[in-house]
Amino acid sequence: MRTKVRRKTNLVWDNDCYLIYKKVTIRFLFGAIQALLALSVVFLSLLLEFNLFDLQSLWNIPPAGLDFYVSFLMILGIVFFVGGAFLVYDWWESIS
Amino acid sequence: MKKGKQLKLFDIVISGFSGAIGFEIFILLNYAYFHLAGPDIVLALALGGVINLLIMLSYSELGAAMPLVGGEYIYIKAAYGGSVGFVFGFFRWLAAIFAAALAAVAFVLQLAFVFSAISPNIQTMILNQSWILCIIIIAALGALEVRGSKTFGGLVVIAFILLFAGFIIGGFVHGIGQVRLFSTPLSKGAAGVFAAMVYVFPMFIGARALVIGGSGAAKPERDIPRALILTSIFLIPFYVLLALVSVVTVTPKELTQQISLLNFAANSIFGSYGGIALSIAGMVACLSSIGTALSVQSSIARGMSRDGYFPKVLQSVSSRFGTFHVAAIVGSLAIMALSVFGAIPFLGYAASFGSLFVFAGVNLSLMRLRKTRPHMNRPFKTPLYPITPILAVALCLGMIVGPVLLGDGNAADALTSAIGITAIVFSSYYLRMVGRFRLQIALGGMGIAMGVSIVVVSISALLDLVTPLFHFIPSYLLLLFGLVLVVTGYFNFNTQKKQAGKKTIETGATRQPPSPNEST
Repeated sequence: MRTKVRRKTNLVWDNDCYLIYKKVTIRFLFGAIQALLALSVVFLSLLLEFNLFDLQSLWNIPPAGLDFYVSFLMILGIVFFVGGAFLVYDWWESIS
Repeated sequence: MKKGKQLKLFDIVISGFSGAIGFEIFILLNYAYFHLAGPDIVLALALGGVINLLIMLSYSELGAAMPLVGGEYIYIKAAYGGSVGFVFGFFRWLAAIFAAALAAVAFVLQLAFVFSAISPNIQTMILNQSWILCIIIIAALGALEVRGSKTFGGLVVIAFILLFAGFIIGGFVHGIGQVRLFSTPLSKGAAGVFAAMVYVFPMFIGARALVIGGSGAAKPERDIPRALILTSIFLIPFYVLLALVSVVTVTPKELTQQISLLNFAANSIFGSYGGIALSIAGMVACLSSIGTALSVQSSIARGMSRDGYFPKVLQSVSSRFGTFHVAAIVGSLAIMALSVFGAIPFLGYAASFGSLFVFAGVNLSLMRLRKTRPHMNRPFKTPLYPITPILAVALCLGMIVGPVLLGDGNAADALTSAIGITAIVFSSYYLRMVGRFRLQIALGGMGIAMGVSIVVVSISALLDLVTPLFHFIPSYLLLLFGLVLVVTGYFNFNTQKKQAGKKTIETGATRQPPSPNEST
C-alpha cells in the first residue's frame, strides 16, 4: 500500500519522510524508556536517602557508603532523564 | 496609579511606602527580638535604616539616570551585561519568590493569632496545617494574577501608616515612661545587634520598588532621588518607634511567649481587640505583599525571557485574560514550594541575602558606569563618591557573611543554599548559552560512554568476574539500562544529522533542481 502511494507522488521525498518518521518514533520510544528508567533511579535514590521501607538495612547498605550511592544515583538519574527528555522533545517537535 | 508620565513626587513616595511597609514588620521582629538582640532590636533597626539610606543614594543616581522599567536588572545589565546581568536578575527574581513565601507563612501566623482569641483549637489546627493554607492562599492570589485582577492599592498604605501611628501614640500613652532605652551593656552583645540588623533589613529594602514605579514619573530625574531619600529617611524613625513601643509595652514575663511581638504589644495597649485589629491589618499586608511579589517576579521573569535567558514560554499571553499567565503560574508554584518549607528564620535570611547581593551589584554597577560611561547624563550624583558605593558594597558583603561567622545556624543554612543556587544559576546560564543541540550532543557522548561502561561491568558481574557496583540492583537490570543508554546516547549524539535531515525535507532540497527547460 505504501509503495503504491510512493509511486503516485514524489518518490525521493516520501521515502525520506517515511524513514525520518520511523527514526523519530524509535527515538521517542528509547527516549521515553530512558526517561522512565532515569526517574526510577532518582526515585530509588530518594528511597535510600530517606530509608523508606527500611531499604538501607534490607539491602545491607553501610552508612559510610550511603552518601556515595545516593549522590551517584541522583546525578545519574537527573542527567539521563534530561537525555531521554530531549529525545521525547524531538518527537514532540516533529509532530507539532 | 496614574497612567503615562504623570506621576508626581507624592505618588512616587507612596509607591515607595507601598513596597517598604508590608508584612515584614509583623514577622521579622520576632526572631530578631527573641533570639538575636532582645530589646536592642531598636538599635539594630536604626543602624539598618542608616545603611539602607546609604545604599539608596546609589539607587538615586542610577534611577535618575536610567528611569526604565526593570530597575536593578537594567542597571547591572548596562554595567556588566551577559552572565552577570543574568545572575543578578535571577537573584532579584529569587528574592521576590522568597519574600512572597515568607508573606504566605506570615499570613497563616496572623490568622492563627486572630483565632487565638476566638478558639484556641482552631488556632492549633491552623498552625499544624499551615502548609495547606499557604498553598490555598498562593493559589488564590496566583489565580487573581492570571485573571489580571488588581488586589490592593495606595490607600492601603496610607491606612497602614495611620494605623501604626495610632499604635505608636497608644504605646506612648500606655506607658513609655518605663522604657529603658538601649540597655547597657547590650543585652545580647554587639554580635546580636549585628545579626538582628541583617535579619530585619528586608523591612527597609522594599522602598526600592519606587525605582520601578518611578519610570512613569513626570520628572524622574528630579523626583526619583527625592522620593528614595525621603522614603528611606521616614522609615528609620517609623520602624524604630514601632519596635520601641513593642519592646517596652510587653513585660519580661510575657516575652517568653513565641508569638508575634507586634500583635502582643497591640494586645497589651488596646486589649484583645487591638491585637486582632492589628492581625487583620497584618493579613492584608501579607496578601498585598504576595500580590506585589507575584507581579514583580513575573515582570523580571518576562524581562529575562525577552533577553533569551529564561524560556520564551514565560512571555505567553493568556488568550482569555490577556495576562502573562505562564509567568504567574510558574512563580506561584515556586512560592508554594518554598512556603510549604515554612522555616521563617531561613526564609527571612534568604530574602535578606538575595536583596543584599543585588544591592552590592547595584553599587558595583554604579562604579563601573562612572568609569565606562563618564558622560552619561546623571541628574543626581551620589555624594562622597567613591566612598559611598565602596562602603555600601563592603557593608552588604559583611551583612551576608557576618551572621554566619557569628554562628547563626539559620544564616549558615541560608548562605549555603545561596551558594548552591548561585552554582545552579551559573550552570544554567552556561547551558543556556551552549544551546540545546550542543548540550544534546554532549549528553549523547556521556550516555554512550556511561552505557558502554555499565554494559561491560554488568556482563562481568553476570560472569562473576567482578563484584557488582550496586549489589542491590540485579546485574541484568543494569545491563538493560546500559544498553538503553548506548542507544539513546547514539540518538542524542546524532541529533544534528537529524536536524539537518529535517531541514532538507522542509526545504525540499532532495528534489532535483528544475531544468532550464522546465522553468521556461
